[in-house]
Amino acid sequence: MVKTGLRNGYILLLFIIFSFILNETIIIGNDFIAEATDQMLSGQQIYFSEFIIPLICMIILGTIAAYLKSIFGKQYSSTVQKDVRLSLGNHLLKLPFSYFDEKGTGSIMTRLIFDIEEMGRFFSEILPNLLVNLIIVMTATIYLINIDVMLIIVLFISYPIMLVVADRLSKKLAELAKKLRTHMDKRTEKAYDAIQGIVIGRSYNLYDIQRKKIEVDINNMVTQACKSTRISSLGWVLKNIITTIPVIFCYLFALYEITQGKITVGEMLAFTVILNRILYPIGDIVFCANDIREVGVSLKRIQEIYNQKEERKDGTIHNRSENTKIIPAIEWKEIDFCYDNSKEHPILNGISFSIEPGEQIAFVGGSGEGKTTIFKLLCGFYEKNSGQYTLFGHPFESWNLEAARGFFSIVSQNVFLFPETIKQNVACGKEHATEEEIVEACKNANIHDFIMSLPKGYETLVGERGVLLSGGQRQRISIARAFLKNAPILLLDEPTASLDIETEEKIQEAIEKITIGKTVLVIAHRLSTVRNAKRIYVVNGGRIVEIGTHKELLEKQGIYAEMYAKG
Amino acid sequence: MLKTFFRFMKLMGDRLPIYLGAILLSTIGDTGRRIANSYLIKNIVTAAQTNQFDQILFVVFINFAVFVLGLFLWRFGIIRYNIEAWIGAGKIEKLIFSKAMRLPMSYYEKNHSSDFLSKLIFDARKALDIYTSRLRRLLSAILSTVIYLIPMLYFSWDLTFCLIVISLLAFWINSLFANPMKKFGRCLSAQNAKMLEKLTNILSGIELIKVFPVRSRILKEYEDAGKEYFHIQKNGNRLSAGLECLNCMFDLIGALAFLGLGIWFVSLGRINLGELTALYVLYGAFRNVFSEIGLYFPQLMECIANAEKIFEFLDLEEEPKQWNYKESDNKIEDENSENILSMKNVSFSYSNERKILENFSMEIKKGSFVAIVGESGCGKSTLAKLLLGFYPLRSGSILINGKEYSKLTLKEIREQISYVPQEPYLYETTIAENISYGRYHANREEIIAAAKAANAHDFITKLPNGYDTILGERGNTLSGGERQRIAIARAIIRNTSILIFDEATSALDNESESLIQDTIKNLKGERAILMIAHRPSSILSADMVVRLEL
Repeated sequence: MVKTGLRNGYILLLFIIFSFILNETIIIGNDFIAEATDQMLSGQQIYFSEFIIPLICMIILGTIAAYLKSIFGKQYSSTVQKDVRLSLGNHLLKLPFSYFDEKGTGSIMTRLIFDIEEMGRFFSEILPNLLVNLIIVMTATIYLINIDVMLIIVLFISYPIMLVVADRLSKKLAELAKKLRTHMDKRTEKAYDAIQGIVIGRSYNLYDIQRKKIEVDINNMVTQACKSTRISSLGWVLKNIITTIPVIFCYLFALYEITQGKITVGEMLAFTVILNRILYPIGDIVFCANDIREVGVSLKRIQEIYNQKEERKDGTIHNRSENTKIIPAIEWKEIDFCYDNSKEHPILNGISFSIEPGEQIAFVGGSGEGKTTIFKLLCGFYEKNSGQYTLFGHPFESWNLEAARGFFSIVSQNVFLFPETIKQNVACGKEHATEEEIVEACKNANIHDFIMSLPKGYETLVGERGVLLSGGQRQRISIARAFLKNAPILLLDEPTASLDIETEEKIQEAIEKITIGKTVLVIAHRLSTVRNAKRIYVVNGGRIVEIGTHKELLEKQGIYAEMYAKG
Repeated sequence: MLKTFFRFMKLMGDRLPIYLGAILLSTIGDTGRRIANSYLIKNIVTAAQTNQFDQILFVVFINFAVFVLGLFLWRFGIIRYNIEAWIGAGKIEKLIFSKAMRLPMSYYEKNHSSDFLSKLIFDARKALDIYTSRLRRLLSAILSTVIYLIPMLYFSWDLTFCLIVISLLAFWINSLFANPMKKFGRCLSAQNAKMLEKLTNILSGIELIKVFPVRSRILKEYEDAGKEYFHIQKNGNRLSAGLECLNCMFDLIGALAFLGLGIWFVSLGRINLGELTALYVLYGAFRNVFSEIGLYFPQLMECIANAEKIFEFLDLEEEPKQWNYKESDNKIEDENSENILSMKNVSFSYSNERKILENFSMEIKKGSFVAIVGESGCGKSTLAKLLLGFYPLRSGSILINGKEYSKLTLKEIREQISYVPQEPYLYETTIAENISYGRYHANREEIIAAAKAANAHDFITKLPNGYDTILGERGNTLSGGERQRIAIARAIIRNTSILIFDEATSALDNESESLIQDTIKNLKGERAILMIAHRPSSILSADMVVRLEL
């Protein structure tokens, strides 16, 4: 983020240059007045015509400088915003899966919309203001020093105290800003949650409950904001005190100096004019700290995303070796895994299995026994705690993650579709897929006829998460996607669970087609679907308790047989 | 535009006078002390010229007193108005949320949730600026201009008059920018919603993106949206930079005209130097507020565009309290009190193209277990949604416990039905609370009993935090079967006369499923159970099987 700020620093530099020019124009203009006043007071005749041409030049120069100053200042902010936004998007895609489990969508969204907007405010308002104010104060101070050093000392005498107070206040404000954002995150999360679950919310009449809950967060936001108003208004009051009281003394002091004959009335006039110009900047510089600290909270929240470690990129192996026929496609030895690193609730407990290329194996067991977790580990969404995972003869750690994931296609019970057209959703399977390939994949997935029956065919929009389609239709689109990817390893996670018989037949047919020549891992809790598997692994409590073919397991009279009898 | 603005202000309701009063108070406090300051300068310069110092200390004292008083007023006003502004902002957010929850179902199907979230995070925030800063600055600028004018006219009416002419010219130019700025605000707001949609694609599709080769496309779409946003911002920047430079030009012209005229007037002897300096100090402040008008007026326009977006959303038609059918259908009363639910000649289609249900009738008695089967996409889930009153019927009628749907509010209808959809949604809160959403004031024993009935108790107690485990987004920390069982517990605890299970046990293993099936059958009693299913096991034990065809 700092880098982005610096990379675009040249825009900021241009901004500073033009601010300087603008400011100089105004100061030079004031020189004219001082001069003219002095002349006037000394009884000389003033010819306005003498001023006209330089004044018009100044207006033109000032106007141009003002435009350029403003455009560069704003452009700087927009550019930084854009760069941060884009690089954050890119970064998010590289983050490990677990990040998305921890941080809710609502919180990430608030950061990418609200906090970046706040950051933009920093770059478009606060930082340029600070710089401009510094320039104004500095140039004006130099100018004033030429008139009288003592005046400057009087002006800045109360500064150190103010700096301390401003620092205290700004810390307090930053704290409140942080709290405000926490409530904001919660508010967004609840809103997101409520809108995603609208079907349940509506059928269970949850409106009042949800409204009350979100109102608590909104009220908290308001309370925090009100608190910080009270504190920052203290800052404003102090700002006015430092900009007013010393000035009164300045005037009196100047008056004294005039009586002593140290400065002229004209000089005093110029002094007054300049002083008025720098009064606000002087106060602003000190209490900029409030704004900076507050925006700092937003910047920190954005930085937090940047600081998240990306998924590993160290894998060097990109391709399978030639003699793939002999090596197992996947081999697991004693793999342990738990989600929260606490060893208390292991999900997988010493899982070992292996599968040759072209084989079909199945994992069965009750729901919640960790079968889906096996798939997530296979794809490298999570890292195992211990044990050995070998993919096509190489340890998984030495694989390039993207390349390794290229070997897998997943068809699961929860299908995610992008809110785009059917065509775009199927095309996810392969980069630059042609129209023919997409249609071919849909035909194979037994969904082509349905798609053609829609008025807009392949261009039909599926709605958020595919709400406009039925479960079976979504499922078949996800199979078409897998067809298009044509990956050597297929992970099927209960793909037919929620389907009616006819659709199940269609999908079964599609699945049979897609599994030809593939290495297939199936998860099932319904045993009818796994009878043909070469080996069946029975998972219970994160362990593999039985292995064998359907027939062997039945003969064993163990858990599997028991399960089968109940089904 | 004005209409939007006034409507926006009206949202504050009773508090509007307090809010406006606070603005007035803070402005008076602020300008008051500045005017006092200019008097001080006038006196000092005059004293310097005339060498008469006897009054100075008294003037300083008065000035100081006014300063303190002004500051006090100002602080009081500013705190009050900020608080009122935030209360108003909170109110708007609440309104947006309430609205988002009450739209007809078709809205959620057609619009991405980012649309609503963008309103809440982005538009509401920008519109809040109207309350917190833009309006105040504009109002106090206008107010203080008027206040400043009084002493300025007093110092020199003719010089001030010239300045007013220049300022009015500047104001007119500013107002020309109002419409383009508003348009810019609207574009930005719309693009923000698009960008958020693309961001949601990244966030919720992450699993897919990691496995399928779509990363570059999804990222590119997000980047394109971000670049387009930048592009719109850039155009807006040009617009506001142009405006700022015009204001700066008028500022310089004003300053120079002031100087020229001032010098001329002094040489003519119309005003003295002290008055001129005082006038200049006042003019400095006057011009300052004027350039603020120039700066904040277009920003106010931009914010009003956001307010307009919000109002468009708030004006969307809500789901009615009840569906109004034609009068002629009203007379049907179900004679048979045994029937808990009956549908008569129901026809329904989402659009005019394809009828989902045509002249569909069925009667369901108390204590019956009905299986609904049919091909995917033939309307089984639609049937459930019609029963829940999500959509109005095209024709026909539905009676629940002998009462016509058209005579019941949707809330009353939904109170009698518990629905468990195919992919049950769990909220990001504790398991206990998720179950209690079935009956909000249920105590822990009731929750546990429901969980036991849904065969969920065992796995819940195995979790580190048991019933107080907070679920992840969409309940993603649980497996599919676990989610379904919690959803079933939530339906069971509601204790309604009709239960609809839409493939609600699909992700369960046979054992859990048969346990739950038993529970469900035990629930029959005075109730009716509709089960959308395809397993022979569920269909065989049904009292009635309804087959839907395409």
